[in-house]
Amino acid sequence: MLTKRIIPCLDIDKGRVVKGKSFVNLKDAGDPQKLSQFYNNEGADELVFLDITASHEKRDIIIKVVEKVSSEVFIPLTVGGGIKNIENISELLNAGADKVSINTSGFENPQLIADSSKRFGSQCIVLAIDAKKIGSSWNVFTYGGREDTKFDVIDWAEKCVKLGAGEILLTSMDNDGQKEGYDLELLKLVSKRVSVPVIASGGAGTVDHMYDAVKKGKADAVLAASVFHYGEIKVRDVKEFLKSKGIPVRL
Amino acid sequence: MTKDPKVGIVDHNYANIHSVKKALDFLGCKSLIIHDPKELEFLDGIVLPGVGAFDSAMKRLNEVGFTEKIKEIAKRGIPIIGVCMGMQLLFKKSQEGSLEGLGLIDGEVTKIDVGLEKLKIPHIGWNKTHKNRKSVLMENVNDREYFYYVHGFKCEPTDKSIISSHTVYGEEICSSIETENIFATQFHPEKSGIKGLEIYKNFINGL
Repeated sequence: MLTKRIIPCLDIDKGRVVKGKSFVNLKDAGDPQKLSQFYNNEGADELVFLDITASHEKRDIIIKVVEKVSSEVFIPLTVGGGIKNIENISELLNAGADKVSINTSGFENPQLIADSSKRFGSQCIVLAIDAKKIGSSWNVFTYGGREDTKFDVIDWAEKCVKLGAGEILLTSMDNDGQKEGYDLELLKLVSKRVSVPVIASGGAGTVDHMYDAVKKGKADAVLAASVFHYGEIKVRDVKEFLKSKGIPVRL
Repeated sequence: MTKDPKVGIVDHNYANIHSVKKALDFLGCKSLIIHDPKELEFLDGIVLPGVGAFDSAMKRLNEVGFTEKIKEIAKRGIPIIGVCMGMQLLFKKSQEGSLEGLGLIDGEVTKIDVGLEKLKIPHIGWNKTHKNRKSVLMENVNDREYFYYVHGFKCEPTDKSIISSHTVYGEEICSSIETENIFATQFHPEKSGIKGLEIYKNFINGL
């Protein structure tokens, strides 16, 4: 039975993990290597690194982080943030990343999704969508949620899958940070419409939320950042809970 | 077992060579990324990785001259392990493409049939892997261990006895093959945690 994946997301700023300060068992929770190792030991199925560094020299920094982590953590590693072209993708894959997530640059240049999936394989290209509910539907937002593209999320997701995106990382901007659960309606809509796996993101506060994302939202994987970083929920606890509810997980 | 075996990782542009190299490095195995077929001489073992489409990879193998060289080396009995798309390249043909494969294994690569279950394609994630028989690759690995898969097509060897493990996704899918000096896994050992590394360790120990 294919298992549902639990994916911690690490926000990286200038090579350091942000939001990781109150980790109890780690001497340096800001160190991406140590935190990755910690999550790996806890049974994380994959890791997502989101590079939020604002400066221009950032590519080198994130590449070094990926090189170090991938030398000792042998689970799939997705890296997103600031990827603009094939060369950026190539550098990250050479450093040991397995997938890249593409958001704004994919919207501005859909050909990048087509070209990169052709060059590196669909399995490499994760389409990240920041979705915000406007009236009765959802719009795609770009530039870290600052710009409304006025484009419908479902249409965009379908288009990108046709172009070659291999997975969709779907973040609800409305629910993100609220800890009141994922946007189940949105998840279900997208998951039913596309043939590729959908990763739920935005809103996790409890293990029940993660169960709902899988059961009601039909998500193939659940991603969370702060609840894992602050130790409010442990990856293993999520898995044990899901298992007790009959959801297949890798334990 | 060869002391400090030298392992080559075939770079044909459509493979996660760096992830494989890191896994081998971690195990303390001397490995080289191979860009030129000539470099395939004097190796103790070969890893043929692969991601992406069958024809893209085969086209490149043909252009660079890897195809003939790999066949020749396989005949000499040098152990080869194909991983993911690399496993599929070992077959004669694939429904995914029109080019001829390496043909080191009799059989065909076919599209995963998810039947009425409406499962998503590709098959992505950690799936339970069942041992079919005694296995070199899976020594010290438990039956029903989880490995990480990413693929839309599956291998169907003519001789079913060479299948050493399988998984289930809509239907039974061949997870690994072992026959004489030819080994292969559909899953990614380099992305399947500690248990995945065991697979490479077992391959290296057999060199």
